[in-house]
Amino acid sequence: MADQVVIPQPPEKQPVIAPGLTFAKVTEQISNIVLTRPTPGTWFILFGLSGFFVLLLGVAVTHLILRGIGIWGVNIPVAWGFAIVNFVWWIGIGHAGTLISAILLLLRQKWRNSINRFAEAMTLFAVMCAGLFPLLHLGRPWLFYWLFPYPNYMDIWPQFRSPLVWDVFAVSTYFTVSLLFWYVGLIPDLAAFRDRAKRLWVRRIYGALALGWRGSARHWKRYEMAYLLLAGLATPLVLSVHTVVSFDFAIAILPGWHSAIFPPYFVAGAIYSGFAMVLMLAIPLRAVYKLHDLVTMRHLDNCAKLMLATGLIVAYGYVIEGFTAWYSSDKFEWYMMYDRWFGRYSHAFAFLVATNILIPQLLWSRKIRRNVPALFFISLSVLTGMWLERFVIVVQSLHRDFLPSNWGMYTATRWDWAVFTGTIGFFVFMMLLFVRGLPMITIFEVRTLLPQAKVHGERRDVEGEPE
Amino acid sequence: MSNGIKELQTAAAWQPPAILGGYARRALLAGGFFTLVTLAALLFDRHQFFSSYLVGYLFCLALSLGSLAVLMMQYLTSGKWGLVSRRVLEAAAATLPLMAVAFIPIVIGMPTLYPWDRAAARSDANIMWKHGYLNVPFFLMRAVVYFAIWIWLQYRLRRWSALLDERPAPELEEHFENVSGIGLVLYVLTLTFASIDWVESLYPHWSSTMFGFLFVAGQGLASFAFVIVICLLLARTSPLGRILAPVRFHDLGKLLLTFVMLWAYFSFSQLLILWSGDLPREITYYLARIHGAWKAFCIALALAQFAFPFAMLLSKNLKRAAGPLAAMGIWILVMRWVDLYWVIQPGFSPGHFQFHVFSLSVPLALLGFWLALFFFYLRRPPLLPAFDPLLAEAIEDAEMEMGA
Repeated sequence: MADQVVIPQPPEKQPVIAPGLTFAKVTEQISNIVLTRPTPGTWFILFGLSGFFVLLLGVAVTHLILRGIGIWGVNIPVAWGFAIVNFVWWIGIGHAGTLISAILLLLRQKWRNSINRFAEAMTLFAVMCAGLFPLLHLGRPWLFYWLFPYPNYMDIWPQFRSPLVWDVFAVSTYFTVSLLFWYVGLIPDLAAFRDRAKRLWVRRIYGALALGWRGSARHWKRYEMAYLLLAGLATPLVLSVHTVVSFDFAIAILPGWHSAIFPPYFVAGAIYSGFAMVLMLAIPLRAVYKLHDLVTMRHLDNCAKLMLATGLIVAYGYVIEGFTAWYSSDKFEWYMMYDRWFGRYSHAFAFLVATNILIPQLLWSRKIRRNVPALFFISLSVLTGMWLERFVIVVQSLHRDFLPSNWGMYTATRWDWAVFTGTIGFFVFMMLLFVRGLPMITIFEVRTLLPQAKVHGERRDVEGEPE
Repeated sequence: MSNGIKELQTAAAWQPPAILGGYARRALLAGGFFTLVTLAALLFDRHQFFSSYLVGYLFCLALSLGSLAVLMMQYLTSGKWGLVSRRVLEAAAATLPLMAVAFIPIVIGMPTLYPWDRAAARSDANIMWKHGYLNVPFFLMRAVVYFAIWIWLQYRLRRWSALLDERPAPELEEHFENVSGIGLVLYVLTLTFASIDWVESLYPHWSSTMFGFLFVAGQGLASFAFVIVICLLLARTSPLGRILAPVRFHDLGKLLLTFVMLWAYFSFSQLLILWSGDLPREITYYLARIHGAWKAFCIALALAQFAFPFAMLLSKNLKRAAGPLAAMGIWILVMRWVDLYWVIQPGFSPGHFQFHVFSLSVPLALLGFWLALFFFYLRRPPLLPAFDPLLAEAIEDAEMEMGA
């Protein structure tokens, strides 16, 4: 499993996984990471570092609950500060995981098999981070259940016409379906771990989690059907969740928020940042655990292409928003756009255009798409850019609304930063626990990619047909 | 098997059937007939001619330009559905130079069509605000740029594709991808601004950031529906009958379903956002379109261009059966006309529903000529690029499903 031999072919032509693997080797390579190989030093360093930020998150949230959200920088007019920016950023990141696991499954894109597991884990942890923010932003998070329509003696119902209530349903559905999908996908691999684990207590844990999986033909038949149905359920969520998030803004009439393009443009932005996060996770994982055979240049190249495509839709959104603000001849719209380009927050906008639009154009070059460090930095740039985009949308639009007497500035406090960096720490922390305890690549699906798995004369397109 | 494929790797094996000439003649006759109807009606009344022409023009343009976009899409995704429909898409895109010529009547009708090109506009502060964009010379200049880009793209792609009739050309793959990638970006941008120029500016006080995307989805929808109908015609005869297997119709059906959903998603998003905002400068667009007989159009669009095709296309059996799928294609093409009519016509008869003989005769005349031209182009090159690397796989699929 040493360094990969360089194949002098463009990534599009290379096989999805490296040649020369066998069924046994695949299982061994993936399960040994968890079961036998010593944990790498990098893992411990990162675990300590992210653990520190998890503690910071704990401190910040405790302080917030004790003192109220006055410790944050939010006020009138900018009542939605970091909390909403971070919420939208995190939930967007989750979308790539669902796209990879559900939509690419239905489209029979087999290359997804090596990266879907950790992308799904990424989705789960990102949604956890995202969910935290609106709850904390409520002010009295212990009353969060008021958001749900439950029969109560106060006879109060949530406002069903408010997109904020739609959010509650969208995000909770998203989390539930993602969790189910991820867990169902894990079952056969958990059974493989159960069978390979040496220590009794380890075997017991994986055995309990594997729900009695024996791998009989009947198991597989029902399993495949269940998995396909879950993929069908998860597919609309890729569009619907961020569409609802975009309605949080677009349903209002505030210039900078009220724009018909918002739903597709938000969805594209979500997938864009999600693929950036997938690359930022895949590249170090593949280097640390020597997974070059399984996560190949094909994967990185495909992710980069999807990033380029969705990034272009986001760029289209900026262009058409700018043009329409002028073309609408509405003075509030045009002032908002003018202020976005030249006002007090224009540096944020300039940085956003650079990181989110200009730098990712490098991905047009095949050479750059084959350069792993470059991909890593472009992904970092995209994640920064997408965070800034939400910052500009939330803060800049709010800080200059219709009444000049109502104008004001927003500055994040140290507690805003503590919660934000705390969730990043939490995310990394959870990812580390995941790669240490569970198979980060789907063993049984990768095995289907091997040439040995092809039955002679298999009907490539007709078989395994979804729908 | 390899022997069989060798035999099919010649341009001669894919010569178009003679029947296409018959289709071209019939389309030409229909076009001529409806032109006569239009000319006769013109003697009595010129009202509504230009708005009907615009509807018909945009309908045909959707077939040409949508096919160009789908052509680029299939080069980027390299599916086998793209191989079997490629020459159909190319023939539709090849009509673009003549579509540029057909734009001339719209230029003549500009003062009738576009309120910003009338004297009254000078006293309208809102229209004068955007005078830098909405003025005749710049409007014409932009149209020239759009057509130049579209014509160049279809010319480039068709020329390279013709080389695949003669020999394998692996060196072209990268070129196809490059031109298609950049081409799709250019397509979306030019179509967006074309839709603003030609349609949105019919109501110069109104604007929506979604308008361009609605046209992109509409053209994709029209183009896939059209390709499915033509593939059905070709599947019935030799030579494409041996390669247009149910699985290919299944692929095309799925893509049609995708665009049905995409169109509905864009339309509903725009409606919900403008409705909930309820701003005077935005909601007027919908107010003019949800009252009186236009209300029926509204409901018809929601039910017949989304709900019904959506429900039907979910069925795997329907997607695999060429006949019913093509019927769905024709249905959607009709709905595309209804959609364009609903977007354009209420601006000319605010408050009440209006239907004129032109509303049918002009689009049908245009469509007749367009189809004649399309079949003329379809008849010329072989119906498949014989040296495309995917050909062997596509034939194998077909043999497996339909027997050798």
